[in-house]
Amino acid sequence: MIQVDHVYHDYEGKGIYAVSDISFTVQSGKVFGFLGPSGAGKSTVQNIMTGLLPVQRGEVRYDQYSVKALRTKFFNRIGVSFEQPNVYARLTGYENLKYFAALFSAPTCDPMELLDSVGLREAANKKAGEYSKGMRQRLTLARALLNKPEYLFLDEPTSGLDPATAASVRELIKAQRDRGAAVFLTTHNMELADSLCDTVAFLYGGKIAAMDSPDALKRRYGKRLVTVAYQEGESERVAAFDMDHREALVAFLAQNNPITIHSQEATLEEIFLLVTGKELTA
Amino acid sequence: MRGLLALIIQDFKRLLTNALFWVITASLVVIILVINFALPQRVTQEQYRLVTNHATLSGELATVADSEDEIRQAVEAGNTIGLMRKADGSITVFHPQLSAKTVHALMVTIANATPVHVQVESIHEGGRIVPFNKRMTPIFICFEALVIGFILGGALMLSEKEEGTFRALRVSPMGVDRYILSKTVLFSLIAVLYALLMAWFSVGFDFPALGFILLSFFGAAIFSLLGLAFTSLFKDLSSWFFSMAFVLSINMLPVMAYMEPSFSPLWIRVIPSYTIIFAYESILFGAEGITVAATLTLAGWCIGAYALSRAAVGASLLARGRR
Repeated sequence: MIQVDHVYHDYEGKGIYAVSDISFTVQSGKVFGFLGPSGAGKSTVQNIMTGLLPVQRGEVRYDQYSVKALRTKFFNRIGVSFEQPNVYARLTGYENLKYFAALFSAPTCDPMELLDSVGLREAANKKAGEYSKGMRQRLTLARALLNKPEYLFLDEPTSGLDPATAASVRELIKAQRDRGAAVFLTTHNMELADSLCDTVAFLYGGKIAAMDSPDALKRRYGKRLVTVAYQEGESERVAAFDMDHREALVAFLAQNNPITIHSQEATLEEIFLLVTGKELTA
Repeated sequence: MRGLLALIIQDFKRLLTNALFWVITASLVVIILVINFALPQRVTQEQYRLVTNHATLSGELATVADSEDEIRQAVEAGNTIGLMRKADGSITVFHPQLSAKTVHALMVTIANATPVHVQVESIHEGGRIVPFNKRMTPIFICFEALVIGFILGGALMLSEKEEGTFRALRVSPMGVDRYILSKTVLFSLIAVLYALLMAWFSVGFDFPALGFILLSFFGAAIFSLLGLAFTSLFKDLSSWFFSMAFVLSINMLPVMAYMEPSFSPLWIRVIPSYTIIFAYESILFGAEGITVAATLTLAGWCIGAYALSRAAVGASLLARGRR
């Protein structure tokens, strides 16, 4: 479990906080989604959590251990995938993983199997400098999984990936969650967050604007309406029904020929707009 | 240990793709060729004729001049020392900015001029006269083979910063000790190989190999560690390169003391290459090997360089949140 308590960060020391009063918990075997537009402070929080930035105020704990007192060997237990793919350009994909595997004193995965799982087996012996951005992104993800981490940090893991590859990465993240890892997912991709996250937090202007499970947020901010598209003569029409008046809906369905029926729950994107007043863009 | 070896192997693979590595390797061959075929075996440093107005001063070796003006003109023309005896018996020496040592020797010779037999004997440490070209070998080893870690260690570290992999290392269990040890051991091993090749092809095999290998390994380790500490101050190759060249040129100043041993001020002796060059000279051409003083000095440099590198690289590699 990762516990973040009232964390603040001021880059210039002038009292202007990039993030302020950030508190949340990432449970083992769960995916926590940190959602927000560019510049919201997502990476700042991740960097504080991974020790790349110092904790100026507040506390970050891995189980009972403060991030301020983590020793080198603790990093056998975490995996970090950065938004900007950072790999050894002059080593092959396989050599990149071998290099990092040598750093861990904990058991590591077979590099070739990992490359296979991110769709890079064919390119395993190609120099990473010759990879496309999407391939380097997948290599960075594979590197983060090398040590079967207990705490996994993923920063925009599907950014720049084609839909098929993004889907396979999604399955990979689910597999990490299912084996018990605490996954901290930073993204502005609402679809990804919706399908993967047990809890999401909306970060805007360095503060958490809303936080809950995607379903709870949808229920809280969505409309309790059902829309029915139906055929009337030659044309297609739509009728809306309040969920609290189910009898009207049942009577309508009995008398008409419905084509589609949809509940009008809000998307995470719409909720973000509702909560922050701003659209969620990259 | 297994992890360290794996890191060394992967760093070596990265090195093989580095153009600078191949430039240094090619220059190794060029230096061996220069020592053996381009540099002369003997260099006459001062060759002057004498001009005097009094033939008895230097006998048949001197050219006789008629006046002081003629002597002055001959000296100004170059490669000439003038000796002028005045009417009162005193002697004035005109010389083209000779060293104080040479002028003093000349004055003593003139003052003690007596009709006795003079025997000349050249005294040399260890009883061997070392040809000039071979004598250059310690210099080339020190400033080519040994500084390879200073240059290439820095280049590898900066490529890690530029590629962003340094950031990935910061969230790995790498640790500063493993980082600097893996690079230092790699470059020290390469330096030993290069130093041996230069020594074998330049002066032959007649020197104590173990002492030579140890000197090369730890000498290169000192430069690698200092190089990593120095490079940690920079973010990219372009800002680092000229500063690196400046530091290496300062490191070469002890060459002056090697060529002119009487010139060994303290500020030259504290440069690490000073001890290393003379230790190489002692191993390759001397009889006694490395002195205890040199060994202690090098050990001190190793410990100091490691502490400095650990502090400097640690500040960059390890985040402030970590211990």
